[in-house]
Amino acid sequence: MDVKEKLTVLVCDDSMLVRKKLRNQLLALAEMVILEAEDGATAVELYREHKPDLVFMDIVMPVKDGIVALEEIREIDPSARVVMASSVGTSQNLKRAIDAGAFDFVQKPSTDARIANIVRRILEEGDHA
Amino acid sequence: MLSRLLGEYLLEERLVTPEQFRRVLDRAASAKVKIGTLAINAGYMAAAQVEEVHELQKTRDLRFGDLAVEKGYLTDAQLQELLHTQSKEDLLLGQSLVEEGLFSWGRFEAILRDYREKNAIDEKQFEAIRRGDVEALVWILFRGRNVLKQQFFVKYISLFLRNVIRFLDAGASLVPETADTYGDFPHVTIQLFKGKVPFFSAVAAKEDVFLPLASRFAGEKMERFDAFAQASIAEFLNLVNGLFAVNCSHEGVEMDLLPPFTEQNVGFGGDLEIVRVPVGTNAGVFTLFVAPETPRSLLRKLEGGH
Repeated sequence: MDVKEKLTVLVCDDSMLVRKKLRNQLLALAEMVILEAEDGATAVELYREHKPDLVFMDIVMPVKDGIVALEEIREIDPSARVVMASSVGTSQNLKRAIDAGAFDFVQKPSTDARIANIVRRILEEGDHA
Repeated sequence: MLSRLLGEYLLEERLVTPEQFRRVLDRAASAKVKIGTLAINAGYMAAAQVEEVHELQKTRDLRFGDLAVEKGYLTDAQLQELLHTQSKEDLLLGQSLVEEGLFSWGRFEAILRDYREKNAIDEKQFEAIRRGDVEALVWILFRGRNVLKQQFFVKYISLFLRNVIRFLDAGASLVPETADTYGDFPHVTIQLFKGKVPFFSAVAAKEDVFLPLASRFAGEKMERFDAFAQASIAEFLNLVNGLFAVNCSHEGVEMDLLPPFTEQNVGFGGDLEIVRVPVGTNAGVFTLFVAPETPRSLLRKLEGGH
């Protein structure tokens, strides 16, 4: 039986607290490679270089906000799976995120169950490699 | 939640000194509400009856509730109800004032009555405050003040407090302003709203107050108020502000947030536009600042320093 490659997940948030929490939540679910970015511009560069299976993206960030970064990542890879994880789930942001092709939206603070559910969906789709 | 209202009243009327009041708040922060306090609060016992039972306790080794039932001042059902609410009630201020030797229970009862009369707080409002209805309390605090967008601020401060209680300290409450509120703070975390309703928010405190709160929010012990601890305070503010933006969005008002940032040794002096909301927690007092726009004193510092 083929051994599946580990998931690669990019976590982008300007808060080091949120990055650490999300990293811990993810590593509690499965072994995976986690990349971190603290602004949207760095996230776009990391995406281009590593093509992660999944991205968690904050919205309110310095340098480049999360929705602009989402748009740029989807230009690089139209099948990119980017989950917006933000405390600012306003209807305006939700609409912008959906229009830009977000995979899902997580209202912060994110629960373990919510993160687990998203990772499970990715694993079930099974086309990460 | 009574402590902020009554505290301001006690200080304004010079019934206590700021130093005495600080000791009372310290005591209240570590105390548990006693059954006698709750019995007066619920109207089951008069102050004189409570004092009589306290006297009896000096000679008889029985708990307050048992003695009060024996004397016929409380029924078993009332005692059970009081025991049930003991951990929730917020009347530590009165208890602490009495324990500090500043007032008798009778005097405290009279002060409470005077306070309500002078401030025209009716029974319904008073009950709402006792239940911990934050919005009712904030309305009363800002009633009559010339605060722009008053309703907006009331909603914001109420939401903020509910989340302090939810994430940082279940016993947190509003406390009176002191001179400290007008000085510089070692650490100030700021976040601005932009868009149709620009709006300034900040939380400020000394390191020894923020550190335990940062630890609680992050869910891990922190030894120093370093970048990680600062990130925890910033994320708490960001979380509350995000929720506020969502609530506004549901009401058809779209607001955007800028990323939070932290400044050292910043104060807002006597800026009249700013609403100052000191919040008492078991880690100490921190202050929430809200204003319709970024205070000029801060703008000058930001322009000069960046």
